[in-house]
Amino acid sequence: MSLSFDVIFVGAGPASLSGALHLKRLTRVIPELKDLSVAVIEKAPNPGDQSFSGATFDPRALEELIPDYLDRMPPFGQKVQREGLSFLTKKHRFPLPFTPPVMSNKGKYLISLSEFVRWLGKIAESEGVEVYHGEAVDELMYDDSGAVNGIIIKGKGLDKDGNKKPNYVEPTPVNAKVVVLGEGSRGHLTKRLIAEKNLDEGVTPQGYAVGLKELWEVREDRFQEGTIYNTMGYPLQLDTFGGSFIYHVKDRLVSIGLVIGLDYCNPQLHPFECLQMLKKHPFVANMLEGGRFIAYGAKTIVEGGWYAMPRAYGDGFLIIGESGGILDAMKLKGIDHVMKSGMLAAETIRDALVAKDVSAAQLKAYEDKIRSSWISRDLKRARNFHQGFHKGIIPGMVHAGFQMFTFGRGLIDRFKVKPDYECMKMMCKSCPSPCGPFRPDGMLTFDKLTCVFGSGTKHEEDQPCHIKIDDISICNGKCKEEYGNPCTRFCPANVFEMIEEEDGVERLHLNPSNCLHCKTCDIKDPYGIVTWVPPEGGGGPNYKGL
Amino acid sequence: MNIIVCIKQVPDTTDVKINPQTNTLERDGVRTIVNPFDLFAIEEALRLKAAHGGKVTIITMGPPQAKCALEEAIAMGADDARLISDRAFAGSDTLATSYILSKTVSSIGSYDLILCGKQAVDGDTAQVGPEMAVHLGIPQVMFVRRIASVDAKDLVVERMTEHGYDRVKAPFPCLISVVKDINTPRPPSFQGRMRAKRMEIPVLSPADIGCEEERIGLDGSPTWVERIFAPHARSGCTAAEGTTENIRDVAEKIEAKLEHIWE
Amino acid sequence: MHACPVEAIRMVEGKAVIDYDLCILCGACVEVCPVDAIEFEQPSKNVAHAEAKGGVWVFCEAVGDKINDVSFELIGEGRKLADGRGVGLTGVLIGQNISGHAETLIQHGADCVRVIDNEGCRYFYDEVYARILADLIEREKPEIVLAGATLMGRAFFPRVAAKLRTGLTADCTALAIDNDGHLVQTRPAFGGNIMANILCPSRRPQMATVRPRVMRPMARDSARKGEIIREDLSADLLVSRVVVEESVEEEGGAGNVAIADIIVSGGGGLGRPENFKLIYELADVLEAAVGGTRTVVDRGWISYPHQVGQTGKTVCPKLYIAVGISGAIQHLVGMQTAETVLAINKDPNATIFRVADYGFVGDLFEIVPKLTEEFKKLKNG
Repeated sequence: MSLSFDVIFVGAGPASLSGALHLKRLTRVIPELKDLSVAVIEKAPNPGDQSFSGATFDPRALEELIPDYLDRMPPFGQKVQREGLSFLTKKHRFPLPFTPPVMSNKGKYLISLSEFVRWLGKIAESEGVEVYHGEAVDELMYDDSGAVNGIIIKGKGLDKDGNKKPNYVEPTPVNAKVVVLGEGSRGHLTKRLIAEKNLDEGVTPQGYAVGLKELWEVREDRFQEGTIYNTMGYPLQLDTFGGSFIYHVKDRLVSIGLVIGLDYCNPQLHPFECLQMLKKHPFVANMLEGGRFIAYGAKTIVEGGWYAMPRAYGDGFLIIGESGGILDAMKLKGIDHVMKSGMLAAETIRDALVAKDVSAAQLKAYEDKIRSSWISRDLKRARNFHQGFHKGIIPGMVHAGFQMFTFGRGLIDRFKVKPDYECMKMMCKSCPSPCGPFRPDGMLTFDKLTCVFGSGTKHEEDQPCHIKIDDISICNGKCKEEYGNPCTRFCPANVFEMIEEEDGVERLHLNPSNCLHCKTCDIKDPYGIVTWVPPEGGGGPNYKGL
Repeated sequence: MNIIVCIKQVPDTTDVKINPQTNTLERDGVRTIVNPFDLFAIEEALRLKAAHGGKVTIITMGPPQAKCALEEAIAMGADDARLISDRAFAGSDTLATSYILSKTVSSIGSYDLILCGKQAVDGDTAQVGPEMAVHLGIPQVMFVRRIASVDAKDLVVERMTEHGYDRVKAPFPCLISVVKDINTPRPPSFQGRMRAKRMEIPVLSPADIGCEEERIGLDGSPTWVERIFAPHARSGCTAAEGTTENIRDVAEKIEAKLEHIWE
Repeated sequence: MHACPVEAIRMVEGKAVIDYDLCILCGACVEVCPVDAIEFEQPSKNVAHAEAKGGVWVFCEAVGDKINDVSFELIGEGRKLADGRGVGLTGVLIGQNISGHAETLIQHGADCVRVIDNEGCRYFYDEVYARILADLIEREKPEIVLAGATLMGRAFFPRVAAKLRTGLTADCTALAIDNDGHLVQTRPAFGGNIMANILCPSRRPQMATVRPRVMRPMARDSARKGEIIREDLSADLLVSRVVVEESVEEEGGAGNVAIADIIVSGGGGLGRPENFKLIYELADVLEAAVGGTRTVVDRGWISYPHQVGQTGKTVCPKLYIAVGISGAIQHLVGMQTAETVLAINKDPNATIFRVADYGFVGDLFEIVPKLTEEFKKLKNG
């Protein structure tokens, strides 16, 4: 029996779920499309398990998609009532007198993305979208003309050495007229598709940031419901783009997160330790005192913006959401944008199916719709934001200031940038660890393994390692000298470890079952030799409330 | 062969977290899974069906979300499923549960074999299977590690004993509980998941299976939980120096605690 | 709200609201509520049980013609319960050629032993044993019946409970009599992560299987006397539809970390694979199983079946000795329900000391051999 759907969305995040739901609604009223089979395929074992964000949420796309959403009890916290931007030094905090309106989140909802996805998924399923969990998509399928015509679901049951275990299940090909890639930041299928079809021709190299976050339950007297803080400065140095966010969400739950641009140049930078050090700042420590650590997570965020967006359509496929480079880097928001992109994809697909034409020429309408929507208005305004910080915080703030008054054009419109992995400088004696020596205290700060445990990440142990290194001799040789094996620091999950072996030499060991599926390694390794592919479906983090 | 497999949706007990600040256990946000021992039972049923033909029906008693457990079993390859779910069943202990499941089995019709996993990892009792066997009036073999052969009228199995195993022949219909060593469960296939999603799974109420009210739920449960508490909280210790006196002292204290093991 | 395994509780305007369609009455919310706002209405406890005059019974397990040690442990515990209730203690012995053990059981604390010594009981047949015991219970009406939570006990005791339509609690680690005279049955659940007190107030007998090697037998008193009753059986009680074709003894099972009472575990602090020798030596003296952390298993110093932790085995031994183990949380989660933990590590701040009852900081290469020596002396001395 050959398996097929009319449309397959890969990844059950807000983009795909919105797109799938919207598509079912649009086609229900068209006689020849009323029984359209729409599937969303997700590697996490349960809805929302691997969705993760800050998050402040603008419901404008949700209002379009589900106008009566408030009646359906969305799992939202309060609206943002107070916000503050400040600059931190090691011991002090300098609040800015105002938040630039273009960066303001006042009036937006504070939410947990994993809960939101869970809620949205239920609605999508109730309206006929088939959402499948616990299955990873390994590859795309192509027909003879090179058009995408389906996906291949990863098999299960290979052991560590690649041999079939007794319960082996073959990879499963599934056909579709249109495949929509909504894999999130640095989707692995998207990465390969972009390379194969030259979808990034003429665009700026894509840039990313890594976001790490902890969820805490704080004391009643430290909880400020509806308040958010954003900080810059400590624990990051002036040459590194990034900052923190602290959201007081609901039920005494506070999210503390740190976002660091992956264009950073200091090989000794250790994002996880920076997050721990952030908590030690008196401002944050005071908030968390007497509180309870609940969970931890990490993901990469696509930051390249308007000029880095690849071509998002082709014969038989569309790319939506963060996979397509959609995120407002200035506001650090994207859930509404990616939802809208999913909906625009749905409209494009409906038209294509009615016209019985899923070629690139027909699906190009998606890009046209993006360009004429509020997505492009926001992204254009932020188009030079992150790139303006390439030379450091101070020049970045100057650029940002100019961009604010020129709808994004700023002093330089379209910076020349290098891909993130080329930005790392080599080790030298004058590159100290920016956070200083770090020792977890077990009450406010923790070691990486403890936090990984708090992400709930679990994988089938006996399976091939899903992080491929082209040439491990580089890790054990050149990289040690030149960059000091930065993977042991930039990975937020302790997947990479240098371990002294019996002959006294340190070599790279991987602990793939700690992986949080963030893909920082795929982006930042300075030699470009690390490739992340999904492990067996069903493995990965278990984010509840994050 | 008509096989009925009883399964349960349970919290993932290995998912339980320890709070790193207090070293206490937390059950927040624990995933629900199909009871791991039941996966072996489902797998064994599927293998028997592959070898001897027939049908595999999965039944479970639980809240509405237990439907996901049934879907996973169907995705592995089971043919049919029943969800027994109603507020009246809540609070059932093993006696009431076994009664309810046995009424369900009777309502399904004829069967050759009932398969269960050794125990559920939340309750850890291993009682429901044998109690079902009594309600249904059928023989049982527990803790089976291998099904050696199957005939038209009976089957031969190896059941675990303290010192090895017994080779046992049991006639159909009978109930068997299986242990981890019996097989390696297959993961659900995508094809199976599609089938499961599109299948209508009947939800059975007390009336559907003909239960007597006083034998289900809290009323039908002779045992009840008076209190749940955490096992003794660990307070930790200050490590002592490794002097001979200290070591002797600790060794003696420990030996006193464990004394009767060496008797 | 977070404790609920089926997400049945939501906060609405600051108050917890329970969705009764989802609630499975597990009681987890009652336990965690810091202000006792949730109540679990239980049926009335005070039920008269005037008929149950048969005292406390213990099923004494025999395999072949040997008696299982758990029988003495249960007689020891049963003695306490019987004294607490002011009633007699009876052992029930079923098998073939086992009558000789009756005297020993009395010397260990039983007042009476009912012996069923019959060729038809030579093998363990679930149906037969269950029928015999249920029959006896219905006749004599004990108020409490105990059995070991062995493969045999856990297999047939539920059948007895179902026949009698009474309550059975499995794998108890503690028993007591409460103020109302009911048996309080304490047992672990959730893989040992929580403990539960169970009651069976409205039915008799109260039945429980008890975890082996937890209760203590009484010292043998050769002067102690009691009653031995040989029960005659009607043939229909001995009918079994199941047939044992053969009984096979097998090697091994010893050293299975999952069920061992004592475990000596080695971690990365050992430094080299050869140093596991220290662990094996200590384990040998203690007759313990050997465990390892994920680190040493990954490096191939010991095989995966010995791995203790989140991705290995969860163990609950009486004694866990952690040598050169730092105490990463993924390891702790696999062993922190052990009764006693002894840790040895060169780092005084190692997390393992937070869950240890005894600890030594220093060079394990000096401490472990000394420890082995001390235990050897104690064992022989």
